[in-house]
Amino acid sequence: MQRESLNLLLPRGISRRKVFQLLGMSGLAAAMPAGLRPAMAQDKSLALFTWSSWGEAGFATQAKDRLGIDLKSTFYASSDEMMAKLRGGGTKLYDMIVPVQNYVEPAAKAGLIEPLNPAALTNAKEIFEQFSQSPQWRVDGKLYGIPFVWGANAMAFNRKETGELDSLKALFDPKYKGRIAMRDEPEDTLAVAALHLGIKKPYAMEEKELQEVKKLLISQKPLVRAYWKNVADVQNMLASGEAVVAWSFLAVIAPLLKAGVDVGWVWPKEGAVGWSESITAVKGTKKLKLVEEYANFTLSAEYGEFMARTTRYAPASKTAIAKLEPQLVKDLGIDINNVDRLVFKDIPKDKSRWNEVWNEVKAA
Amino acid sequence: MRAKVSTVLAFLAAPKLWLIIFFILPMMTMVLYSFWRVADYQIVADFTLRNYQKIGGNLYVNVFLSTIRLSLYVTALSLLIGYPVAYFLARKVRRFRLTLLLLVILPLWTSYLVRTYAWMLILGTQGVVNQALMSLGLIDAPFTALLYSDVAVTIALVHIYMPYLILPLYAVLEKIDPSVLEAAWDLGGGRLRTFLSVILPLSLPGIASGCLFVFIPSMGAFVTPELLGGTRSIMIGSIIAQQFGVAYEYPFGSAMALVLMGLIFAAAAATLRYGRPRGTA
Repeated sequence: MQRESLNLLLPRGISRRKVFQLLGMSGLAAAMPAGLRPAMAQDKSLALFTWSSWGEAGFATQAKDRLGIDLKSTFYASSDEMMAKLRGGGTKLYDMIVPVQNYVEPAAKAGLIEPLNPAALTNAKEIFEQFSQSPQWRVDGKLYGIPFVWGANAMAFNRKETGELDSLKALFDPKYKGRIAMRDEPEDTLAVAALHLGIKKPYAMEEKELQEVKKLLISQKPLVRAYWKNVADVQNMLASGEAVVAWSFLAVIAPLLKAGVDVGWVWPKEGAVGWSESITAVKGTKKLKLVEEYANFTLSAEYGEFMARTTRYAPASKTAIAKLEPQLVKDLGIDINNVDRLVFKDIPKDKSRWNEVWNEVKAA
Repeated sequence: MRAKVSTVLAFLAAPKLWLIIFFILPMMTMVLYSFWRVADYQIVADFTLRNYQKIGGNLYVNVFLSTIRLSLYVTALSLLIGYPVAYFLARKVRRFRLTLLLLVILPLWTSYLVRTYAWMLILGTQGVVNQALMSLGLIDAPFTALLYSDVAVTIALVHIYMPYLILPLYAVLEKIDPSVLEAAWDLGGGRLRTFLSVILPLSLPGIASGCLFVFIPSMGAFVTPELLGGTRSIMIGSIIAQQFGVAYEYPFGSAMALVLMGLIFAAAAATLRYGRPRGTA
């Protein structure tokens, strides 16, 4: 009844969801009576709030064909944007999100996400144990997701200028003075410096170690061309020759190779920064069962293989990897035998101190 | 009479409502936040002065100072380049004045981001400047100090904000009564003397508001320094943006934004006070 009356109020061609999105942006959704919220609808649709990388139309087609689920995706470009929109009333708009592991605890503690039923995730047994057993996806003993995709931020280099590289030393080598690019982001850059110093657990650093990291990064400054903020910027720097070695995302490699730059990608022997992402239920979704069904599907070999082929991101499913040709596995930029070399992004012991140290480095 | 008063009040209500909703309420929220703190990823409404104490520390005072310094450079350069342009447009040109004015405003039609990125292409190691200098044989190796430096940030900010200085200055210069200038000449003032004792003092209000229009946005700039700045070009705008983004420190960010706003208000008040026209009786 309420739904129909609302529909009558709407101009033709505007979906109710669109209206709720608009309302959400203005923060009004929170004020709507519960009966009007889209989650009440009994249809088999899921509102997915996700990274723009998962915007491939194929995922929606696949969800429709295989599960009969209407996947409606809205996108964010950073974890902060995801958190900000969820806080600003987004929990009323979305059924599920795709967080990175280190945002699970903040989101859970801020009451933005809902635990999943482990029994519903039957495909979890096909996932590499490093991911299916990861404590980062559990908060207070409750499971919030099992990653379907993973990767690492690592080192990209211009092979013509540097030859093969395998060590973080290159990022601190005066030989490449003024041609090194680092990321303008403490969670990556402080961890990289810590790994270079031989600190095994960067995210658990105490003040004394933070000071050493700060000293190292300040001494590195004259060597650094620029700190990059967006992945497009580091890609440009590598393409134009402003930088020959960079701490980077894997996403720059394929376009650079296509542009004719002989660019290499390596997980340095000292370590690289790992990430994983999972389908996670948004707090208060009325479709938890459906979310779990879809989450389980993303863990299947079928989904993993499809994802690897369309997006070049690495599936966390053992069976999916087994279905791929060796060359493609190599192109995914992962090294499953060396997962131990990764330090998975975590919440720093004192996050605001980390930000401050990074600002101190930049202001020095 | 009564009806008239209520009509006036009704008309006043709209702008007042506008001010309250879009200015006063957000501002009050920020003031409140700036005394609160974050615990366990939630904002907790405990009264604390910690945020302001933190700003008083070495790190942030230095960032504020370097931001002020860079903004002053940008303002001075804009004035140095913009004044002759405005003067020329207002007092020398007759025929193509509108076209030329349009050319001044034209850059404003392009997105701020596009203009910032354009400077990357111009100043880069393989950029237009270096290529030109190299092909002229003036240098052997490209300058690398152009892009990713305070120089690049200053150049881009001057380019982006200078139109805001030229326009008010133009308006003031154009309004100067020619008879005042004739009087100055009649009294034996040369070109320079006339400029220094008549035109310049009369254009002070234009200089003041034009400089403010450049200084204020420069103080808050964060996209340009992040894209073009070197490893040292950290500005307060970036730190504030960081508090509302990665750091999730709304309280600290609010405190810093309020301090920035205070500095800007102080600069504006001082400029407007001392920027009154002088030399007029």
